[in-house]
Amino acid sequence: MVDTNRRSFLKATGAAVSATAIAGCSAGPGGGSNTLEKVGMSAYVRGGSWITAYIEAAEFYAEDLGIELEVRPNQQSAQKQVQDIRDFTNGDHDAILVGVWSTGAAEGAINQAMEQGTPVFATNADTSSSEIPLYVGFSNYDGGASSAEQMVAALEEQYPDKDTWRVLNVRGVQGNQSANQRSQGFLDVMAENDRVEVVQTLNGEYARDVAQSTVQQWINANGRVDGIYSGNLSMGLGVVQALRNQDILVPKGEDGHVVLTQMDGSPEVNPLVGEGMIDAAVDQPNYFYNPIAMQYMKQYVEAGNDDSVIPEVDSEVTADDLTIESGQHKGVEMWSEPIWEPGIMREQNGHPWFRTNSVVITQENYDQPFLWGNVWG
Amino acid sequence: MSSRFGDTDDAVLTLLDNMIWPILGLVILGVLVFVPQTLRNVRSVQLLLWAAVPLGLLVLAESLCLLSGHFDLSIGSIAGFSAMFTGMLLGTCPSCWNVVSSPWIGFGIILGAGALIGLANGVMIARVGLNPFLQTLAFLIIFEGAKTAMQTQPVTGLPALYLDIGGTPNFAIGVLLVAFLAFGLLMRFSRFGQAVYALGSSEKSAREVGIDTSRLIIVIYTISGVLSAIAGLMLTGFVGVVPPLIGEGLVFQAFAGAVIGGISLFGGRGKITGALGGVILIQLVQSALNNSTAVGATEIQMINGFVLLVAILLYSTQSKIRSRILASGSV
Repeated sequence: MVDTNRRSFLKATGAAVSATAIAGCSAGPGGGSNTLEKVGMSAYVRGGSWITAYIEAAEFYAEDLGIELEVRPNQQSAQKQVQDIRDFTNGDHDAILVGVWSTGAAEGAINQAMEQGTPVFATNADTSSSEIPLYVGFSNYDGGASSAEQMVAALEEQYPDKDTWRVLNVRGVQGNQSANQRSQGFLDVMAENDRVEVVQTLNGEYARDVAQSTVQQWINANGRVDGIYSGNLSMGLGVVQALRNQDILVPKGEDGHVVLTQMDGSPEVNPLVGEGMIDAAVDQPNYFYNPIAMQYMKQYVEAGNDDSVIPEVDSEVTADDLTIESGQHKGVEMWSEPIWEPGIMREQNGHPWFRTNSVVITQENYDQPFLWGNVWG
Repeated sequence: MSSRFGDTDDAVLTLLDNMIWPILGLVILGVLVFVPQTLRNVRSVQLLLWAAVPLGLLVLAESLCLLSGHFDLSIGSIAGFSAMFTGMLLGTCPSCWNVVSSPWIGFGIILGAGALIGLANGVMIARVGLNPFLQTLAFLIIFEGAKTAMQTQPVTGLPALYLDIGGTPNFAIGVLLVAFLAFGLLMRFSRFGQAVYALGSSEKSAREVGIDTSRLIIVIYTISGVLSAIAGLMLTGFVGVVPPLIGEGLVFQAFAGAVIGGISLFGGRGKITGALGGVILIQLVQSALNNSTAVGATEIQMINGFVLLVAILLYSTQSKIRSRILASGSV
């Protein structure tokens, strides 16, 4: 009820701002016009090639739409992110894109921006604010679950005669929301399978060197396992190196192959999938997140901050409903393959969530140009 | 009678000075009882020590600074920056600079980068008079930022020889042991070592006995930079690429290793060999916790913190016992 009232208020405020703008006398915070010309983006920049693709795609798409995009790195600091959002709000930005670093921390600043008529759209990592019109991202939990399903399928193929498969779960930083969800998704699916024993959950801390040293010592101490799941690309590559150091890295189908599934593809991961060292990597359509958000953001602003342009919760969005125009960037026709579809509209934290699909990278598709790891190599 | 008491006190003092080793012995015993698979074979020990090499070199760098009554917060970022900078020059990945192909030149560059940053630290502290905390904190931030400014993706395509140094377990462990042995001997038997201890005990007194303290501080920070750069080289070899977050978060572990090994935070006391014991202890506890089915992944960090707290309590007790013995005048 409160949420509905707040939304109504925002709509009314948006409409009022639009009306004033049409009258040609608007010049307040939030740009004051119903065209999307300048967007501020707050994102962390210290995550390697994945985050580079995520940010550059936003820059390319904004360029194609003729939008001026100002990207500010928050350096993994919630405080810095709050400050940047407030700066954008008080400046002449028409809207704000945020990849939230700490779920609850930026809520006040985001709400303040919304109240002042500067819409905030979240991508990749969700905010706890119920005020935003849209969050675009995939489900970390589903990603972990999908990795588990891929692992079971690969184990059945590799070790069909074994009664029990022993597997390891290498998880990310404790307390990190995505690390928890990715691990839990994996564990929940595995718990339902009687043939799987998750012998240990190891801390890989989202770091390649930590995962490498932890896994190689664990295997040496406790013996081989049949499969290892890693919660992100860095840890997955550390696990590959750990098996190599233990002289047990062999491709799928060969004796002694340890089934590896993980979250994320990358320029390094994709060739390893092709060689059969990694069985499957569940990848996000990261270079679509910001374009999808910007597409809806544009419609939202042009409609006078009207959230009726956002698809209804529980609906399904396909490429027939949403067009992300492809463009030539980095030598490829970017966004030409709608790997995000179908997008399922859900509600999360009191606002709509455009839940994109994920892509499972296997030996069949590891070299396809629609995988971000093959573009940002 | 007093002589007999004196011998006992001597023995107690010697034990206190080398307390890390009985502690390590007890921990090994505990690991063998409760998580025996952690040390199931020689390979276990090799893997454990191999993983400890980068941290060990940083602990050595930090120990040297601590013994002199200073400290260095920038060691992790020096390791990361020098590794990333050299990686960009040597690497063949699409975004790399790829201007150097010889791994030998690479060794020179990475050591040179570390030495230059360490030298700058030393000059700013000794000559310009900046507070070591502020100076090394600034460099921590600058070089961590500079690393990200250069590259946010893993640097690949490095020459095999360049990677072999840190990527060959026995060689890497050898480097660590030789470094500790060399600095252990240097600190114990050389004029440089004695000057470092003197500086750490009292800078004023050290100056009065003719030690050029400014020059010494510069040399210490330069050595610290070089050791940090070697840690970066080892980390690169260990992982096989230069990951974008290389070296981050290691400084606090380096402090922990030094303190657990008995190096005084206030300068002038502690043994380099003790610091090696601290490194091994940290790695052993970490490995045992990872291998233990009784400890969940979510509890490991907390237990690590308790280990550090127990070590600090032990050293606090040690310090009180030492003071009591020395105050009694029997030695």
